[in-house]
Amino acid sequence: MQRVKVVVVGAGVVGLSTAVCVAETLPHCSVTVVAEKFSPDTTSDGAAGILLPTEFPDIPLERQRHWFKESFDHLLAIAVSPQASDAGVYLSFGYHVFKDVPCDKKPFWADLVFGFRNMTDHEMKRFPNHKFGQAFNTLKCECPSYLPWLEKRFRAAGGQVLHEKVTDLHKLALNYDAIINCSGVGSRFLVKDEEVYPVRGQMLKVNAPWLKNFVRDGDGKTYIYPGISYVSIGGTRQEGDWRMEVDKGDSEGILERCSQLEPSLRAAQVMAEWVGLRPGRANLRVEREYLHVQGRQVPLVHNYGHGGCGVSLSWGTALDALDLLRQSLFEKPPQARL
Amino acid sequence: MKVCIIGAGVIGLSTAQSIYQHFHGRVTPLTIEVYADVFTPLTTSDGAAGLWQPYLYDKGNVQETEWNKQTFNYLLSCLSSPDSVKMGIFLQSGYNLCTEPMADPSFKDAVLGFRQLTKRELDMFPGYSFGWFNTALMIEGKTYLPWLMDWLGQRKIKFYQRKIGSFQESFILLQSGFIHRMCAFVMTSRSGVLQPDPELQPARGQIIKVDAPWLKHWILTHDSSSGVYNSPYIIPGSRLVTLGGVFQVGNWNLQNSSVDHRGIWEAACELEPSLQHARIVEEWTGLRPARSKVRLERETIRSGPHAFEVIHNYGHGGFGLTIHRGCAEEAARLFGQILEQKGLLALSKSRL
Repeated sequence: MQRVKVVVVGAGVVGLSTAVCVAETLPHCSVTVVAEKFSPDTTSDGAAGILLPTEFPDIPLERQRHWFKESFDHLLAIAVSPQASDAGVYLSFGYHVFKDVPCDKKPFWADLVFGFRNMTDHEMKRFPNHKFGQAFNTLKCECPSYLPWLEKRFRAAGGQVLHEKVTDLHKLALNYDAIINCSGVGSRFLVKDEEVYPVRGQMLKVNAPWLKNFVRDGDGKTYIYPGISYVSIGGTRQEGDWRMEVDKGDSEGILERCSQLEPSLRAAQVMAEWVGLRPGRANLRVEREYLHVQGRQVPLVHNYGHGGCGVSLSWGTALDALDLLRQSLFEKPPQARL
Repeated sequence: MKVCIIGAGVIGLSTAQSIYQHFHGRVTPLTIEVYADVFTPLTTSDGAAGLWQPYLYDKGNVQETEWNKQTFNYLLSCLSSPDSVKMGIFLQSGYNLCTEPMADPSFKDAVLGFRQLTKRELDMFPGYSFGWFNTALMIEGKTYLPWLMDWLGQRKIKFYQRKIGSFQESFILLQSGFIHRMCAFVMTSRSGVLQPDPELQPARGQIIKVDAPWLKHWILTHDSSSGVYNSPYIIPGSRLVTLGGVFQVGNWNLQNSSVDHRGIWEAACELEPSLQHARIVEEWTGLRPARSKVRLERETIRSGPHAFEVIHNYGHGGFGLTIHRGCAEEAARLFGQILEQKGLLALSKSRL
């Protein structure tokens, strides 16, 4: 029987997660990942990878919960397994501190992480500029380890990888029976989605191995995430900003704000600076359409627009994309390609 | 006035610091000397992982619970100092796992954010059905002791590398040119042999240090049948992770044992499967100075025509780093009593 040829565009955390889901679940599909960039050059590689989602305004909360829960459970199973260090997935405890008391004191994901609670007065003493805080145990998933680990898993399931920039989906559809688009911020050009915009993020990698717990300011612009080889401190959220160059002013601002949250950072050595463009969109897009190519209807499943929640929602949205693909292949079985 | 401190582990050095802090300038001259056969990085304090955590229950030794808490608060206040990294002090959170429900531990109010573990969390640790999570502090001996020695050295405290085998020896040391009655001794656990105390026993511990930087929380297990520290523990440090779980009372053997090594390694890997891929870097054995309770009191010892004031500060078992500051401050208070009795303190009352 001829196998169904599926292509996944994009090799960030969303692309590889989706590719693994398809390759491992649908044995009658042969899956290829095509992307311009692979780890360590993707946007995902610079993300600290803390599982901590934000809310999309127009997607039913139940669906967002489902995405996060699936991602969390999938990564938790890796964290407690012998594979944890290879995959770069492990438990992380920390604080979410707010300068002003937030309206929503309990986010939709509060019961999905471990031990979510308000910070005690004793704990808040270390943050004199903040009025309120939450403490919880979540997971950290470091893409410089996780993406190569996913790729290994993908190849083990028969997946193939192509280093190529995709600019024309119709052309791609000539050679495949189905396409899954995980091109992140690239979707702005690839599918001409004007709702996609970059949210520029700059971060610093510092050497501070004595830091073990994370701290994040509720405004999302100041964070300290201790990692395996360095501590990720940041950040910025510059909407519509396409600059990939390091901005020295941003670095100074980051060091100053983070040192206020964690004074011992002043003794830390900066190892590197990094910039990435989060794939911003009002709402994450997981949906299916059809491309009409040479008389064939080629399903095109979209899975992009994760903003700063790529890692946090990767597995859950990958499973959704897999479902959409499965439905399409069932509803309209692929016809022979010319 | 001359103070001779015997022992240069965390207890000896911190006692020297507290005495200096309280009495420097109020007693002139005040000479503080530290005698020890081993100094950092070879002391017992250097080998310890450095987690601030007392034993689960103080068995009525409320004084010890108080000293532990004072130490915690002192270390917490040091966190905001620019020296915190140089002192080897940092926050760390972690898990205490039990095989059955247990009463809340003595330290639950001293630490930060103490809470019970949820069932979902306990599912991560097969074999353990109950436990707690909280944030405490790390104080790494290999960094803290050099910092203390530096601090003391800058204030002209002198260190002497000497194995003092008996009181007689120590008296001879001081005879040259000093007025004997103007002298006090602080005896820490290193000096246990000087005045045999049958209650003081070695509690041998062995540890393995591995490179596993993805581990960010300590995991301590408790099994009431095996006793404290005889159950596996995993404690990440600033560079390496300490694996342990050996507490052998009465065992003086300072050699690493391959049997203990295997036991520690297998238990740690079962508790934390990702350790299987961790690289082993070091192995070490130390003798905790175990005692039913800490001996922190004065004693006047007579030897022939001489009478010596002694402050005992020993027997801190596996919680020396945890309790050091509280005990050092108390020892300084006892020293203040000695000074008052000798009429050496000015009219102003002791600050203690």
